[in-house]
Amino acid sequence: MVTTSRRAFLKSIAMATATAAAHRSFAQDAGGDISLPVVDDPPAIDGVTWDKAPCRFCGTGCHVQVGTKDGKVVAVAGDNQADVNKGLLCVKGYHVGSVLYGKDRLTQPLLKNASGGYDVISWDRAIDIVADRAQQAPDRFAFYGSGQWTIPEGFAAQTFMKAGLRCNHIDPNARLCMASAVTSFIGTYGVDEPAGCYQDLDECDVLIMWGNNPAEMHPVLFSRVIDRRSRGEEITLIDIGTRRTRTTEHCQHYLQFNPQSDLAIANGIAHLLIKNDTYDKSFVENHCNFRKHDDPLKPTLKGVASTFEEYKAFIAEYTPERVEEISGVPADDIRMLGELFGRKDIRITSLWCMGTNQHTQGTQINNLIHGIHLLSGHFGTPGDAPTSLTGQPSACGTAREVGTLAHALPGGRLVAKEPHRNQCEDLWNVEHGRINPTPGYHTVKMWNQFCTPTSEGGDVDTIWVQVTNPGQSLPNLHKLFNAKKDLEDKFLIVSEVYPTATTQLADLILPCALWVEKNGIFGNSERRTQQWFKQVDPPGDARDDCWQTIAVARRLYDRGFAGMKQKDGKFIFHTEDDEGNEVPIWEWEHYYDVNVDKRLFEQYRKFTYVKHKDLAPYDEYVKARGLRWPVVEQEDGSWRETKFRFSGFDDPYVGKTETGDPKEFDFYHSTTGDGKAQIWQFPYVDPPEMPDAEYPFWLCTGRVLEHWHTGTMTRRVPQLSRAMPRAYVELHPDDAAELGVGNGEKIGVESRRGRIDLPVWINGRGRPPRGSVFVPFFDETKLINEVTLDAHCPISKEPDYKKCAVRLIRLPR
Amino acid sequence: MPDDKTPPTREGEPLEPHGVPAGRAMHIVYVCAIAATVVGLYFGIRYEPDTPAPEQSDTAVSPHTTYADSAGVHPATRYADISRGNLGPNADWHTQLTAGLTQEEQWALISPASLEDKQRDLAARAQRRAFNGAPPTIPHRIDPVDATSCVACHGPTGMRVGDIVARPMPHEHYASCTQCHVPQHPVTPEETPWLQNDFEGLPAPTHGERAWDGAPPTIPHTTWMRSNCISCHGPNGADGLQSTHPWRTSCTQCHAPSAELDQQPGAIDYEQFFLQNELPTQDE
Repeated sequence: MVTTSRRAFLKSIAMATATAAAHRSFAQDAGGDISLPVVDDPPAIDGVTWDKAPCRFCGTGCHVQVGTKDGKVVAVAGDNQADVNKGLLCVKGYHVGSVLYGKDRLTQPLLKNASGGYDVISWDRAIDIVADRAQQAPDRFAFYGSGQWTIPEGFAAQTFMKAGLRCNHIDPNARLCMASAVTSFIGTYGVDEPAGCYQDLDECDVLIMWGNNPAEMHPVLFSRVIDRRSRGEEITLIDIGTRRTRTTEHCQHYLQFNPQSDLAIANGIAHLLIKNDTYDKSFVENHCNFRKHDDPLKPTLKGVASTFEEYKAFIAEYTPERVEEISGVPADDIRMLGELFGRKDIRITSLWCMGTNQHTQGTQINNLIHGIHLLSGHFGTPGDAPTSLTGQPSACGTAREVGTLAHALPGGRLVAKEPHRNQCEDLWNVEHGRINPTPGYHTVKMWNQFCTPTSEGGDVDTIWVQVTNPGQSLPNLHKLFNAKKDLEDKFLIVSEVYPTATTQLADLILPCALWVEKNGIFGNSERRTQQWFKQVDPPGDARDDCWQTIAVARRLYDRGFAGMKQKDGKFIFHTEDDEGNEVPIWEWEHYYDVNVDKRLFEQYRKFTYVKHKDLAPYDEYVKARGLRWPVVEQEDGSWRETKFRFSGFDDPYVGKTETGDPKEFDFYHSTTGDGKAQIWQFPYVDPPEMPDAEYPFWLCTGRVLEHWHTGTMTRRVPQLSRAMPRAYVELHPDDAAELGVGNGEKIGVESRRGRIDLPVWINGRGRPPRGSVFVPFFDETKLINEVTLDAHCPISKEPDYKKCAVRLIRLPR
Repeated sequence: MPDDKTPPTREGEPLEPHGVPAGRAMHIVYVCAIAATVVGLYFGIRYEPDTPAPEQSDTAVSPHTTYADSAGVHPATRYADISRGNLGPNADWHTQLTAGLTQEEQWALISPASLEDKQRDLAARAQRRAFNGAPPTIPHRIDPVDATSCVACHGPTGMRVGDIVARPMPHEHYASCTQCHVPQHPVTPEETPWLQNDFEGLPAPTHGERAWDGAPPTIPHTTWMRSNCISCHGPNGADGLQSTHPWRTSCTQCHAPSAELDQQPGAIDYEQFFLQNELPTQDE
């Protein structure tokens, strides 16, 4: 260790200093496979005990060591044993422990009274109220959750809704986040989630970021790439973006494109691969089919079969010059990309997140990026990967795998498919026919129905929100959230840890346990399932979200509600101790008598095999810093994780050739049933709203390094809020000059849907081009989503937060 | 180097044809004059001011301090050195290539600087600044006309030659370095009353805040004009301010700046920070 560390230092210095000659001899014998020194072990502090937990924030899934003393979290350190982050964290992660201790934690159930204030009520009464709402109209009751639900929480909610209430109106905020990634993984490979893993970041020669700013949004992964330069490795970073960001500063190439024209850029690369005859003929022939939509205006997830000849004809028009015309990216840069993808001697990883997902052509652009990786054969070997990142700690683990979506069932199954329903009914031990065969309302539709008066067809009257903040994060808030204010028969239940924009309109507020105040399991962006134990008690009367769900289910069961019974009459969340006696987990005093997480996880695990997303037993995760599925038991009883799915050298489910060896690649969930992936064709189409004379600017919204999403947790951490206290509008200096405003001056940002006033930041954190502004969405007092558009991808139903038209209004001085 | 045994020619030759009044006395005068000229030339060439060479210091870049200590005498270049071209801004620096290797170069793990080292380097740093945040003065001579060569040494990674260190610029490149940075030479021989000033500059902060042991400290100073952290905290920065992990190049990933010190728009905003609510607190 010491030797490698020293060598690593030398390499870093060889990079960092101009006096290269002095170091050359050392640097040369440093060799290739060196690892950078890791940070120290968690500091030894008197009376502090340390335990592992995945970070509460983003989808990277870093592990932290949590230091607790006298029942409080007192410190956090990067976990050296974690493969994801190797002891490193980001500024949010280092301060994650503070999020438990904001002064205004919600600690008691609160019910809105007639005068608009709130009364403190008992948990018993609160559970009664929720049960009343569910019982009186189960089909008009919706559950809105998130990618921050732990796997057991999501599984409990899924069971409660789909098996219990027989209602499919359950959707997560992940619909606003990675739904387009899901639909394109399914459309391309027949099964959701990335094939590769973070190791691709260690091994790629070229990293292409599509509308992605990992330096701020996935900082630890970004460091994992750029730190390679400190080891003397060469890596080409290419930022394909609509504004300059902190990521751009580390990139050799910055390709600035007109919003939406990423579609044309991807097609331009494909065009060159075909024209230059540099596409991977053997990969395409052996492992790919071609697919298209019969009607591009009404695209579906399935589409129809196409041919290489059709594809070739389709792609012909996307010459570099034509792409330049659409995108504004110089034709030579398109050629540069085309040539890189045409090379076999380099490994290329693409990285993307919200830029491509929050897109009215979200599924399409995701598919096109997968397509160029398949066409060029840059797939399936370490470093060659199309990699989609997620923004929430368990968007993959809970929303996608447990399938807490209106159309989905656990383990990659679909509500609309009878065999899938029957499999789930068997696993839930309920009679066939229990699950409603009609998919429920997706997020935008759910909130639209909730905010529409009942008399006008608004057929959702209760929404129970857990672990998310739709009052700030939904698009077009006036329409999809604020309108609830005037609808007296609608009832909003919010399980929360702090007062938020959502609790502003809540009728019932349920105080929750947060992060290490409860047991939990998350699943990160690289298929890694990560477990932690409760380490401190929640404050006051705050209780686990999962307990709340189970308590309501039990209340309904006690009232004789049939859905909350298994087919043999047992409670749907029936739980026994080791002696076989039922444990009343619906009573808070007994909730931790057994490990409810483990019990739910072991039941859920049985759902995961059909789509080969096999999970190991709970106890394996207790030992590990997460395991990447499929996790398969070996002959010696050990459990082996899978790093590279569909690749014969690593994935145990890849089929065998005639000689008995694993095939090189096998897309064993292929939608065409022949082991092949699909290369789709989609044209460039204009977005639904573009700048015009009346609203001449593009508005893009997004996140910042210091705050996590709507900021309800991170804004209560002084170190983070002092670094980034307020929202702002980034403006190009020439636009500011034209408008006659300077740094710090407030301007109005107005769309057809709403307006907010914000201070101008010129040459600030990011630098948008002329005619384009950027506003972060973390600040609850400056709700940019009152301005954004609710238009969404026709396939994934994910809204586009990245582009709409606004005008800027100079305020009177 | 002229040889004193060689009779002077150029000085002597013109004398004879003039036919000045002859006589031994005049010859003696001529000889004396010639001898004095020769001796004068010789000693003139050999003259060396009685100035001590700048001392070596641990921090390497300290000629400014040395000059101040040497009563303000500006060292002249020896005629003998002119032919060697040793006239650049750093002519008076003496370096040993073998000394002053950084810890990294000595294959050592970087341990956090001792408080002593930190205070020493902060003090050295303060010597060249009127207050924390003032542009540092230039501790060496510069070309008075064209200062564009600054980046040759003070470029993005700085430079280290033996024990001589040129810090990297902490900010983006601005073409007119001398707009803000001025050399402090020559110093007048005596402190004159107009050089005396009672201004007491704001000292540099000594450390950022940590949320808890092991948490990365926040950045206690502005990052405006200090965006290149390795300028002070990198291998070519000051030893006492060194980062223990210079290979991590995304510093703000972990170390939070201050929006207020950075004058971020809206940072000092007295509007309500959270939405107003009428929720009863637990005490009620």
